[in-house]
Amino acid sequence: MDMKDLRERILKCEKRSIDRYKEEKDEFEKVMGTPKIEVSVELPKGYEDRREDFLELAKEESFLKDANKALNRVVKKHLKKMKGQTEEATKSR
Amino acid sequence: MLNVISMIYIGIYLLTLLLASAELTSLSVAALIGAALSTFFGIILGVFTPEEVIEFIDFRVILLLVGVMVTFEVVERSGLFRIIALYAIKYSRGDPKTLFFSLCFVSAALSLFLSDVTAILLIAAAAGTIARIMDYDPVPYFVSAAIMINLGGTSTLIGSTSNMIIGIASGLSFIDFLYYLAPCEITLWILTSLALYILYKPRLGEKKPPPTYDPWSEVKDRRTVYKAGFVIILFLILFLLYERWNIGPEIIAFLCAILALIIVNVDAGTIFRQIDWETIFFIGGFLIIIGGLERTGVLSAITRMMLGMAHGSSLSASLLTLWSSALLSVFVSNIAVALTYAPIIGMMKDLNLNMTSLWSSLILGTNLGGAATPVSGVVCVLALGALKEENVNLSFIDFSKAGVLTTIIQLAFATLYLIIRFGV
Repeated sequence: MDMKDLRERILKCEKRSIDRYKEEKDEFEKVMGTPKIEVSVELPKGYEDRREDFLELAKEESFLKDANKALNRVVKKHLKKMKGQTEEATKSR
Repeated sequence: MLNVISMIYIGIYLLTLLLASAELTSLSVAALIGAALSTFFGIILGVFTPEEVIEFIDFRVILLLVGVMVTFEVVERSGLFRIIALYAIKYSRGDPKTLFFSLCFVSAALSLFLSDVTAILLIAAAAGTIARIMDYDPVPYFVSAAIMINLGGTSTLIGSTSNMIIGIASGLSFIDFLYYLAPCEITLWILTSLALYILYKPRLGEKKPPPTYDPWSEVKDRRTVYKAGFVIILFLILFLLYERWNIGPEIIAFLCAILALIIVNVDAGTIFRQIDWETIFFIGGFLIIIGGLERTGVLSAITRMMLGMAHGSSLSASLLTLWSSALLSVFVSNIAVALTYAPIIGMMKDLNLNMTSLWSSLILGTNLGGAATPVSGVVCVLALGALKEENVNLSFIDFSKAGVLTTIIQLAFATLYLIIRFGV
């Protein structure tokens, strides 16, 4: 069995089991590591003809980097707001 | 005429193994193609009738397998095994040596109950997460987990699919398995984990402050976990006692599956979808092929050949069974090896040989040959797949260094154990 066959075999198995592995890893990350939430983005209106380009973005590194940066900002803004609300509620009690 | 028919059946058997090993088709489809060919030739050549084909399928094996799968799928869904893995990591307190041994023993222990696929996905996920947090090399943890999962469960009737097949064929009970093989398995756990530790010591990483967490933090309903724990205890008690009631393990397994579904109260549809139908269809199809080989006299010819090579000695026959079944399991599915060898060993029962020694050799051989190379078993393939997900490409040679080394150690000790234990 050469390495190419082995790689193909692994890929086949991966396809079947990778979802369960990722699910399981997310569960461990929630407890031990950094928790994460998933956000889905829809194709914006007016760009219906760019369907394939839109789907390609999911694999593009520069897009993922930009999206992560932007989302990080939004998450921080909301967490700050929630923290403020909690502190205010504690003070008023 | 018989020789030509025998050759046809040998051809069907080899074709099935080739199709399955070369992954030209899935394991189950390969066995079903073989079963269809066996049935076709069997009927047109008058080897057996269509009614007899159904009798080749041992439904006790299927029932036992489904019962065990359903029970432990239910328990697994409760998160109990995840909590055990989280405690194992927590109590290593950031020490890579303790973490390594904890994961090794938890891997082997979980595979007493879980299928190899479920166990490796769980442990790989735990190891992958802690390796990322602590900035450790994941390779030692993933490879060791695969090897220990393959080893775990050798001494229990429900520890692996091959054990269930051999258990039903031999009539060895759950207690017999433990009585004859537990000392061997426990020693193998220690020897194998020590060998892996020596091999991987330089790559384990340094002691660091561990993450602080509560293993129960993500558990939404603790009662479900307790109920799952109760199911395992009940399962073990019933398996320890069933011999007294004169019923087979398959009945107990099926009863436990029903009880698990009722007690833990999970969606039965979801559980049934998770059953490994691939293995069940493989066993069903392969039993028909084996039935054909038995009817055409091929298996009795192999039995005579083995007895000739062993010169009628129980020791030689046991060691021949151990090493040949282990070597075959390196290259083909150990389920196929167990299904082939079980009737061969069964034919030796009237020959004044030590049958317990022979069955123990087969159990050890089929279990120990499954993690020598990345392609020896699905557990190894999945460990490599999970490593790839962690951006690590482990070569065939790198895995085989650990796999071949531990397989040789395990087989050498198993040889010694058989000689000492059975004094044959």
